[in-house]
Amino acid sequence: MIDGVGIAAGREAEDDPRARDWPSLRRQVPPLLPEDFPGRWNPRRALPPDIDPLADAAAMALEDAGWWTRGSGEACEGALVVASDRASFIPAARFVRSLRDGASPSPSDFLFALPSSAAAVLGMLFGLTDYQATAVGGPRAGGTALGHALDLLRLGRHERILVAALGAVAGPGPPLRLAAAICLRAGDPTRYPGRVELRGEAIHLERTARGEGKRLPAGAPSASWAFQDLAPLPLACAARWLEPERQEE
Amino acid sequence: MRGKRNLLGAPRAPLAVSGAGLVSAAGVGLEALRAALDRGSSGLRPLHPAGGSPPGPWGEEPLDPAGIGGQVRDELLAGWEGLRAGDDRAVPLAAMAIEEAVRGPGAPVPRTGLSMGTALGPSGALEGLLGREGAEEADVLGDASVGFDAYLARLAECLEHALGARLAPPEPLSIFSMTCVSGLCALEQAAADIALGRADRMVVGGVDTLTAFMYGGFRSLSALSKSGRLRPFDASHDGILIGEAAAFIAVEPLRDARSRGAPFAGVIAGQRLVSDGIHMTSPDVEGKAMARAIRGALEDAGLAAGDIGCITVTAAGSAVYDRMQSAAVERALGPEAAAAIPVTTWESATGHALAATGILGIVHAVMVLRSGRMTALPEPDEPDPACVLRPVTGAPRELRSPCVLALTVGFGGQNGASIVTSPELAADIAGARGGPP
Repeated sequence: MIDGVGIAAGREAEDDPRARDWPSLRRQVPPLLPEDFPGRWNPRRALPPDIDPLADAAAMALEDAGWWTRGSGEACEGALVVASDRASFIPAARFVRSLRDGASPSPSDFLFALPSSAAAVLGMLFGLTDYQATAVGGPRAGGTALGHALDLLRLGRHERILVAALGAVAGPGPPLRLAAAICLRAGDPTRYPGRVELRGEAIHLERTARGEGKRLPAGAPSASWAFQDLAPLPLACAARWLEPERQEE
Repeated sequence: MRGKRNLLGAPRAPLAVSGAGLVSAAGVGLEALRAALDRGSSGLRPLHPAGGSPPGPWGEEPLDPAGIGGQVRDELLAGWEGLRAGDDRAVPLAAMAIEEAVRGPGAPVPRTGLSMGTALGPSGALEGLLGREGAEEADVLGDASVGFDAYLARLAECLEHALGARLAPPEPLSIFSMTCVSGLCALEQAAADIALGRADRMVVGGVDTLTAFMYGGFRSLSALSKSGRLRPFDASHDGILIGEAAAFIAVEPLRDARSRGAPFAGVIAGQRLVSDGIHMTSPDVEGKAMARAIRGALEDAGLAAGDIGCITVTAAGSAVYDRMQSAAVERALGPEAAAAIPVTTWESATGHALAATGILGIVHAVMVLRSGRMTALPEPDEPDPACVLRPVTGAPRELRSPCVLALTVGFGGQNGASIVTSPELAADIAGARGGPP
């Protein structure tokens, strides 16, 4: 059921002390470039900086799952459910300030003030076009997105879904952004010996081949207080919990 | 690239639309829209500056002195009895539509949930907070009062009030943002909540307001009509005109609606959402993804092109979207069906209703089924030769088959197709599939 996981932070995390005690945030894959998406992104344009950690996390999860090959230009085929808490408020603030100041507002800032634009970009980059949705219930959005995807798989509406979440938290410096992604597929576990489901407000992660089941309540465990109110947290916890399994392989 | 599949997964159980509510530039209630369409009148008019509540940072200065849009009259919203200080403009807009959707005959429903969509969220409140002198990102990232979660919680309170004190608080709750198909994503979740036994009935809708933030955004994208006229399927269409609206429906299993004596005129028999994945703001002009959505919705419903009596479209006056929908229908149903099936829309009365669009399409389909006829739209000066679809003009036309295909398009290459049928046709289909009528 879980085919791949990914977790990433915005580039600002390199200088942010709050990210230091979360080892998963260290960059594990090469930075994404337009050339990684031949025919899917105009190579003369940079990838949108407002969602860079989300694209990183999605690429990690999709490569981990074997659903996507960097540089191939092939479409993944599958559905996409994104969670966004307040990350879209950052470009929204830029846009509203431009309007207020009488400056020429950036169309890009308006586009990324729409939380759904993150899903639109991921859909373009990776060819995830079967169905797209964006859950936006603040910190709860991660759980809502995960639950939405699990419902769609359970009811047979879709066969495989990338769930990706983007969150932002204010701090003394620039807002710190965290993203996490998980590839879910209907059917028996193969890639990871784990199964994920939501039970009320709690995420239940079950080992299906080795070890014992482990319950992770929403909001814990967390290595950093800063991430406790972020939509990506449920997915980040799942990714972090599964990391030892990946390392053992 | 591999060929695209047509069959997108298991069909969804049909849902009765046992209530509907609407607030738009045409007025409050479904009958206000019906009357506007019958008269051929429009709620689109010059924008007035106090379009946000709380007011945006532009004070009394209009953002665009020449701007045209579909604003709900302030006195209609201010007159809502549940209004609280600090409510975003979207709250009374949505609350009045929710109240209309759950009002009506029939035994009470024990468990009702709420699933809704919005493109920008409480954009008036965001605009006020973000636009303040000296405001920083930290202010809005740290202010729990203006997030999507607080917005959803406030509208859940409104639903609870509308349901009455004797019933349980609304549960489950969810909120999605997917531009103009937001409400259809919410409907996917609502259908799952009913199918998996979490709720007996779901209230589903979409809402967005026409704030300076929203208007300025579409203006920055050069998407708005320069002429200020909404001319769908006209060779001179030159852009969209946006309007604020809230559209909500109550959905429940057919057998439940019947057993509790709730009358319903429409059944959502099929729905599919498919994305283009090619451009941030422009659709695939060939309409391939929308064609997949149409075929998938028909497969869900167990119906064929010949069963469709009417197509209701997102006809905001954008040439590329008009042509995309035309190409998609031709691709999915064939050129003869595309030219023969009558096409109608509601957007001439309301403007393009943003996140309310998807559910408004279903509401409009139910209105067509209930009346058995399609109202005529303004005659185009010159029909767009690139569009096979032809809107109903001149005089209202009778519906020849009780099945409406509702098409919804949205920024980011979003395409939604919904099949809405009469209860009788839904029963016939269920019987043919071996299920209970």
